[in-house]
Amino acid sequence: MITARRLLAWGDLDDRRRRAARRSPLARIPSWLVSALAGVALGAELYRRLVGEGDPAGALRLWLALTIAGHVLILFGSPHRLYWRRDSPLLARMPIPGRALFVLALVRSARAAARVALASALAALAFGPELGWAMVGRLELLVAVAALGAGGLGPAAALIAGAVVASDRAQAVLGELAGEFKAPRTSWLGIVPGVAGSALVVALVLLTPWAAGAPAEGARVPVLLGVSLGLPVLAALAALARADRVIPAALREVSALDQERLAHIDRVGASRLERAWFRALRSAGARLVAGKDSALTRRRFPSPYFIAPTGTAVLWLMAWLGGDRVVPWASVVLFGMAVYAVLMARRLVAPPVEIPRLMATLAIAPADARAAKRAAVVLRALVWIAPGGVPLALAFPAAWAIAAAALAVAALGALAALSSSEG
Amino acid sequence: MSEPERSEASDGERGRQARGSTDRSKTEAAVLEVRDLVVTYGKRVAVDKLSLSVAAGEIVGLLGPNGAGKSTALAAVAGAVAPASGSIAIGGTDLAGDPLAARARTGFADQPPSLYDSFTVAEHLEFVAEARGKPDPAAQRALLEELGLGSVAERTCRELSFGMRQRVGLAAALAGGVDVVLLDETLNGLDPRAAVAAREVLTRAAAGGAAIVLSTHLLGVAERLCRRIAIMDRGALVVDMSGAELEALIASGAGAIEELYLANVSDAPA
Repeated sequence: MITARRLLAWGDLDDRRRRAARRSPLARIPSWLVSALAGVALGAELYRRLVGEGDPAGALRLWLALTIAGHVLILFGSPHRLYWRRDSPLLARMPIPGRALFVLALVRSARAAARVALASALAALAFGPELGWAMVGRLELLVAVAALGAGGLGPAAALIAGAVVASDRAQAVLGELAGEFKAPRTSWLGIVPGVAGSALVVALVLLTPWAAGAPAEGARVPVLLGVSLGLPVLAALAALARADRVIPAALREVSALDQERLAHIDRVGASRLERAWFRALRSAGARLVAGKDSALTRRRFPSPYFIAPTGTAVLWLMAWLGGDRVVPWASVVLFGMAVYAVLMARRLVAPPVEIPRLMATLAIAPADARAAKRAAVVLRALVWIAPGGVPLALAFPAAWAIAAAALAVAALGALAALSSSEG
Repeated sequence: MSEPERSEASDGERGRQARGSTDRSKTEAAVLEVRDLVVTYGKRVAVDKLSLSVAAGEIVGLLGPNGAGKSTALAAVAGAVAPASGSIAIGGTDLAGDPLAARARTGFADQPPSLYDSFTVAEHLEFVAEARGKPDPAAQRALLEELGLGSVAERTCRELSFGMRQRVGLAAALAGGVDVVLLDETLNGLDPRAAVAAREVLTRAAAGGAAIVLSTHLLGVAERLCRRIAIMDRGALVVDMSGAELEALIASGAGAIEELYLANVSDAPA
């Protein structure tokens, strides 16, 4: 039987080859170096706010917002590391123990969490000279909580979700409870990690006042810290014990369901807004590619078309409700959407939305195809960030800079991701 | 970078001149002109100074063992793979000089067919024809009907069986009224009725002036459909036979093309 170590070695080899195949030098930069550079850049911005603007509270809010957003995204990615990898249909048919597959997902989640944690930990050093190294130590502990939660709790939550998806009995019970509102089976792969992610966010928010220097009252902080650090480890160990029984069935079921779901897609085309935006493209080839990309993206990856309006509605609600802590939380939403916009940009240059081999044989200039994809990511950045960010900034002037930064991350990050993937 | 390794085919004993092809370098009505095409993958030479002229209305059966370079040669002619050297002209238009004009006149069905899985069959054809600048919904619909795909025109490509995907690949290669049709094992995996329909469609396309190059391992298909046989081995063209010579060979008895094939290809891949 193949072991997790061997699976990991094969997976790493595949990843290395895929990275090496990309022609863009940007794609070949080691991911830990990118994390370190991001951490240094964030640290510089924090230091500017601390020393230049004399705004330690603002600096701390920014650091916390980005730390939470980064780690929660890693946690939400757990089902992708366990079930929705491109090799899942193959792995599901192989005689591979569930334990090995779970350890593989666990290691990959831990690596991803470690990369985000590296950036957060480096950035936190910026607080040292002004606010003291004791506070930096507490912030680093907060990073450890976030990283453990993302790296350990995420795969465990994904395993539980997979068990629910694969179990007919669980589906029958849930079906009876939900009645006509019964969700598709695979939606549990979003719901369960979503609950785990919310728990992680709550833990980090509750620990923040202590990390910022507020006195700890009674045993609350030690208990919270103990639970936050211990629960992911216990959850991962418990999941490991059940992995042999759960994962093979869940992997088969999710792969099959995913394929079935994809076979029955909504045959939508580009939205009205997209069609209007793409009319500004000069060449017919660019307009053709843009229309094709939008139709395929809406069919294959419909979630952004749901998440973006939801995020905007949340920002409107925040702007309307007001309060002291709106801006940091709105920052989390804005930057979460910005990062998602960057991730979605990569979808535009890979199958099933793009087939480079086919495109190379068609009478469409590569420059036109690039223009189409750039227009799409710029539109997405504007539509995802501006409608929510502007009302928020009107209500809270401090949010102007945050909304502008989120817009810049969404647009420039997506353009960079496109350029890196196109080589 | 060191000089790419040459396959054995380029050595003296076999020579570059393909059997039966002494005067094919300047076919008068050639729609497809390939001159000294070389394609390399790193140090490995996949296509070794291939020259091939295909006239309007001609159907060329491109044979050869696995790894002979057939798919790479077709992909290079289609513009999907960059050649290391040599020239490719489609209807007199140089592929390197004016790639868009050349591609607009070329249809390529690769292996496996490159299909947008979330598009319906009709949408995929519409997109490809529009990209070639010649959208014609009625003609595309007729093409689908001829290939027995009318009933699945509104199904997504993802839902199709292997044989149906092959047929959609063929339809996409023909959509938009192209001058050169390149088919990489596209007739493999078709049921007998679909195979007959595909042959009829290709014969009509050739009668309409298309130059067709069909890579296949199905020697029976090559014998029935093609009026010219080209065999590649280790990247080089080793046989190019047509006209009376080919007719005589076929008339000599069943299995004649197979014997020609076996006599001209090496045992081991390059």
